[in-house]
Amino acid sequence: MMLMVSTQDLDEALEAVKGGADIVDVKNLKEILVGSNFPPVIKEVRERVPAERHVSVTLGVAPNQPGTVSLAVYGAAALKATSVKVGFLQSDYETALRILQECRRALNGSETKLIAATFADSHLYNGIDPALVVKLAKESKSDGILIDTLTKDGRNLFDFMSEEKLKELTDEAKELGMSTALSGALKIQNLDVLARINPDIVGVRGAVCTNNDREGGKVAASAVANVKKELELRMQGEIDIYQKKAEASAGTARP
Amino acid sequence: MEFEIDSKGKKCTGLIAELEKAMSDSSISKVRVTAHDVPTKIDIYAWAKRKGHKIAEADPAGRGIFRMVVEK
Repeated sequence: MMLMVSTQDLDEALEAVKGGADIVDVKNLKEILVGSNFPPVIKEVRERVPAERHVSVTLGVAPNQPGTVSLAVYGAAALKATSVKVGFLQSDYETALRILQECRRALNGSETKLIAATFADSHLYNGIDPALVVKLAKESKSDGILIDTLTKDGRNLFDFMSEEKLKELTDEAKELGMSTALSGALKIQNLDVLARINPDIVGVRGAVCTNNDREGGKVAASAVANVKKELELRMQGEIDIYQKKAEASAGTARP
Repeated sequence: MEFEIDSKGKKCTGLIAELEKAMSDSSISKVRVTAHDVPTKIDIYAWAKRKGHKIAEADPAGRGIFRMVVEK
């Protein structure tokens, strides 16, 4: 599993790198729900982040306009982003598919990967069913999937989708050769279940920000390093990722 | 025929997809696979179970490294 850290500017991006993030994601939390950052910011981040570290670009919630979105995707590729994430909220399936197909066409000849994103809490926004993400990615020939959340009230990914459903979608995408990413207010306490699901990428922001505040705080290298270390411990088998689940089932869970 | 897959360095490049492809090749009867972390090992077990394949051998080969043989 790779650790992806969402950042808003160069300072945060360099903190993420210092802490050992595998992927520096660039987004803009100041736009409604989540939006894209400005091209000069993305360009600067790409230039200053070592080439072996991935730099992804979040388009955020895409408007239902294939031309507009595909041009933005083209821009992300021109800025040499490793990947570009296109998320859907108030789109129907056919519109989302058409947008992704145009994005695919816009990325022809580019090394930038196209990631189809849905939101686990989209029912709160009359959005597209998040479970359609694999079908959407397969039919649009996207390179990967992301399941994220938009809610900022303290709930996270696992409040909206079960471990079993997320595992099923992740496994299905992997069999199709897609990269898989999970995000959405994830916390260190979620690392056991994340390791059991085993997406290729775990995305965090609040968990690595000062005061765990994804909006008011700033990404801190020490917090990134701590999440990275905890992830590694689970990957290497030094923390039993099934223990707490077994204890909970047996009613012997320790606090 | 045997086939060998090592998950080292295969971040995001589809180890499971590679296994799927290898095992659907009629000329390949078994795949030796090295997983470099626990979640990948769990993934391989779950995938083999879903597909009706057998994990014929499984040996720890160091810190977080597991060698397995998947058979049809």
